[in-house]
Amino acid sequence: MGKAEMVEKINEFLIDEFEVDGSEIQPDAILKDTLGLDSLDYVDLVVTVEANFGVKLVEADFAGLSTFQHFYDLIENKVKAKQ
Amino acid sequence: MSGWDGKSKAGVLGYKFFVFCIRNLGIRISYSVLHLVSACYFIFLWKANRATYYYFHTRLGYSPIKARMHVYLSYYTFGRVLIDKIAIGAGMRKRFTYEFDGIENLRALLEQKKGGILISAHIGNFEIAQYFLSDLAYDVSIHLVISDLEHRAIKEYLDRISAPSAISYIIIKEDLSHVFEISNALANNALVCFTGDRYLEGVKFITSTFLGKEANFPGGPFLIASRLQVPVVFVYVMKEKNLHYHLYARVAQVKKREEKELLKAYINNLQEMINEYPLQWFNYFDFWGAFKK
Repeated sequence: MGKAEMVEKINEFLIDEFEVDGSEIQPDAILKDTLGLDSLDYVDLVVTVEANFGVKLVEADFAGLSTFQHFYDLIENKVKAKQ
Repeated sequence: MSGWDGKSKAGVLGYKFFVFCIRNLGIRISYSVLHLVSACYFIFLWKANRATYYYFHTRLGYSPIKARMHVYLSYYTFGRVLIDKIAIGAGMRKRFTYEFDGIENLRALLEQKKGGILISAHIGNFEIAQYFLSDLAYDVSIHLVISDLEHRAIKEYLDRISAPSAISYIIIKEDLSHVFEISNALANNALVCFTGDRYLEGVKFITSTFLGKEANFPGGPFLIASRLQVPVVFVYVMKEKNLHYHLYARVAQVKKREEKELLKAYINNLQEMINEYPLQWFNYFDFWGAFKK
């Protein structure tokens, strides 16, 4: 899966799961604010990522995670590391 | 609408006092000591009295005298439930009797091997469920998600005096460690339990009609349950007469992303419990925001 395809898939499930307008999802937008995540919503994020990409996020992955670009990079690195 | 301020009415000192009473005086005499404590609460906890009187008088429609009397009885009942919890945890389990209503629902949930979400409330005595479930030879681990530091202090104290427990606590923290604890628990076929009737300021909430007036409920439990597609059961452990308990387990029908529907089902279920056990709903704050300026 190429990066663009991965980003598209990530955006799709974020729009679907968190019911946000797709136009709000921009690489430099803040993930937490845009998706309106509170402390329990991250459970959904972790489980959904695992279901869609087969990779497990861990606590350390969230350190420094701020924008959508960070999130895309994180998933990409996780998927690559798994392969 | 009002959120809980995060402070329990019984602190660690209160627990220590009752542990002393139970160990030295026994359960039933400890119950009688409660009259003194309940009277103090009734006299001095003005805000809690006002909120609880509102619950009985305005929401449940009790007469002023009956509502006032029930405020006192509510404190007394809460104290009995705490004493039972401490006594059972300290190894006096065999002195209590119990019955199940809907235990097959929990069995079916565990057999799916998908983990499960239990949604309970600050009603009755959910935390003793583990002792009754263990009698049925269920190898089940329950993780209770809590949010406040005060509960943690009380839990740490109770852990020191209690037998090892099948319930562990997941504390919601800024570092998001709870996220992984919850997802790991579900992945390991454990049960994750939320209380669905108390929200803290600053977290997502859903507004719905409860006992005839709109109130705010925490969004988290219902959002997670409706998104993750894991089985959901409403569970309550209610105190009956003397040293008898009744565990209720009701399966919730969950549709993807229908968190408001799930909340409605929860409220309907909770209202049934309140109608049956009005003295066992322990939310001593301005739940409906009736006194908010």
